[in-house]
Amino acid sequence: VAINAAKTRATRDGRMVSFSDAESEGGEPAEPAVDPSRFYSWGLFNAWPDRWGESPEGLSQRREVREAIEAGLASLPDAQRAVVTLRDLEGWTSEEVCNALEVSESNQRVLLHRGRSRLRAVLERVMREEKNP
Amino acid sequence: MMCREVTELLTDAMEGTLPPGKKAGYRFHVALCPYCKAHRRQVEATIATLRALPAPPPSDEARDRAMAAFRAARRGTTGNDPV
Repeated sequence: VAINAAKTRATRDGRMVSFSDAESEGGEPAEPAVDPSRFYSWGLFNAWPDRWGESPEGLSQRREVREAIEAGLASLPDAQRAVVTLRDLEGWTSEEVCNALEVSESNQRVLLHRGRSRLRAVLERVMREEKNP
Repeated sequence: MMCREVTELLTDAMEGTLPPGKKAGYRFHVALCPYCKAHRRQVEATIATLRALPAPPPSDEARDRAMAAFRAARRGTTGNDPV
């Protein structure tokens, strides 16, 4: 029963996500890549994006970073998680992902963009918490 | 073009799919803007961190479920499709 409930929920969430993603194409980004507070009203960055000052290999070795990004990945909307997992963890090409998920190139790119953007924000939080605990 | 738009076009730029009308403005901005370069480094580090993650066995099941849900949603059915 629990498994069925989870499946139903995943299906419903998946539908909501794919619909809203499809609808928002073209217009104002429904989900900005970067927190709007990081920009002046006219659109330039108002502060430096932090330097993480460590190689990605070093980053991924650290337990708190790995746990945070895995949790972040798990909490992505289904469609974003599917695209990010296939592209960035499994190394599929965009064409392979489009075929497997039956999405258009542009939709795939929107999902990838949003998923990666959310995970960047997750890493940024981890790195800031470390600096100013 | 301002930083905000550059951050929204980053994935297009990385995928080589910038709209023709945006290419010159994007390149011009990024060439001159250290903020956008720093932002791009963060995104690249995020991708590299994802690539370095071990793909754990449970992710297969999670992925299959996500794919099934995704396809079902696109078809407007209630799921239970073979993956």
